[in-house]
Amino acid sequence: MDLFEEVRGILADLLDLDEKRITAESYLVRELGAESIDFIELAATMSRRFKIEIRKDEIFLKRLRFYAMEAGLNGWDTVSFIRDKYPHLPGPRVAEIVRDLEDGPALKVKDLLFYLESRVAGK
Amino acid sequence: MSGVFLSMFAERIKNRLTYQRKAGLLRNPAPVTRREGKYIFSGGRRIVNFASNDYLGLGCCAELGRCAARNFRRYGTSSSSSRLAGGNYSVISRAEKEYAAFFGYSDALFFPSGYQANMGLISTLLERDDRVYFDKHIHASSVKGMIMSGSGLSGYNHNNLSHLERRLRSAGQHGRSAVLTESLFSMDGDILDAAELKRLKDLYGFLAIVDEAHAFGVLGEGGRGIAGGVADIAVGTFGKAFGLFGAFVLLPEGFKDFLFNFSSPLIYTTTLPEAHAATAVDALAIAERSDGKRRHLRAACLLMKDRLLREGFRISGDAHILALEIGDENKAAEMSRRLFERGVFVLAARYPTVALNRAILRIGITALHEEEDIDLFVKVVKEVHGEVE
Repeated sequence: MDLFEEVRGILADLLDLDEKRITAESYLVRELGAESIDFIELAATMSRRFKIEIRKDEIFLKRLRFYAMEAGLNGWDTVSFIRDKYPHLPGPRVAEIVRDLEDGPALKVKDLLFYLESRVAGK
Repeated sequence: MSGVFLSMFAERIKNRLTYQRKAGLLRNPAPVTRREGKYIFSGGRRIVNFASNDYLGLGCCAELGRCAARNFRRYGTSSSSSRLAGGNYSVISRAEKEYAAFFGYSDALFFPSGYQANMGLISTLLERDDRVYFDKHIHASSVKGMIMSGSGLSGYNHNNLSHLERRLRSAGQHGRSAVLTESLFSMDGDILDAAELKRLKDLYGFLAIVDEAHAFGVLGEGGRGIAGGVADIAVGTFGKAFGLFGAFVLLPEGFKDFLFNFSSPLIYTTTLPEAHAATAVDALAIAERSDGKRRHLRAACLLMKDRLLREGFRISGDAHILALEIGDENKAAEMSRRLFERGVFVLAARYPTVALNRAILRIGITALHEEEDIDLFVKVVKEVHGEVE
């Protein structure tokens, strides 16, 4: 089973959703209805399933808005600053996230996959 | 050198607070100079309080106040010790027995706060190889206890026992498992389907731990709550309907000794004073004979909900906690601020207390509220809702 299929199964169980509703482009909070408490279980389940340590701040982009504000206050380039904070995310995805910030929580299923791929590859 | 480190922390703290402010998440409660029944006073103004958990009005009742004064004069002001050192007073043990008997459990244990009770109970009782199924809207203290326990986690969507059943079924046979939920949810204001939870418990087998903090004293016969038929363990607080402070955990046989020996938040804290225990017994007696107050409260809740629905607001809640849905955090905070200016105090519950972009005005109704207070609330909330829109 590929990584996406595994993550999709975990999310469907956790959020009580039909798997067909979940794509790599789905927003976890905005579209799939994930709540902050879901991220606690999600991290624990993925950590056990993939046998890796998961840093919740990183995989769920928990400080994303704070970093964006920090960059703005200091006159730094927001995309570069956030790219440094979340090195598992490709540059184009970071730029997309920064453009998307005003519309709500930007985390997508594919962001989890980027993180898991980087951690599994780095093991 | 230490100044450098201080400024590093100060810079980070400043940035975090700036972010909270910009996101509409900064908590900045108004100073309250005085309380008088359903009113609080702030900045020289009298404000009707809809942010209180004093559901029966005992927190400001003269009779309980006299009992507390008498008990503190008699027993002194502090236990001056942890329960396991020199603080295992017989007055406290007797009060615990009375609470257990009233609510129909084998035993009870008092904790200094509801937060400590949930955290101390759950983190101690559950272990790494156990599995805990939990309603996703349980209190932060229960979440903290659950995480500390290291047990396997399986959340189910809020008050959705069908989802709980699917999760129980998909997990298959498991050793020790527990379900954590509340009987009256502290933010959503909705009520647990205790009969359905009982059906699941009989079918799948689990330990049922129910937080009845907002229900005890108000709901059920004589204020005995609504989960008595299904809960193995229940948590209550003195700081809500009982008008005091601290909390209690109702337990099956044998569990008290276990918590006494292993629950760190209980072991390493000064126990509540004897006067507290004696006053808790007085509060229980007053609460038991408060059927009139419970009826009045029920009528006030129905009236408030009906009036707000008629005005077109989206309201949830089945009892004395109503959630008026707003959504945007900044809007909820601004509405709460303007309501306060016009003589109504209501909490804007925002992330992370509720989900992001799902901010609510959390309306707490008490037996002290009269129809005129509800009229005022509805009139003013209509005004500010239109303005902030």
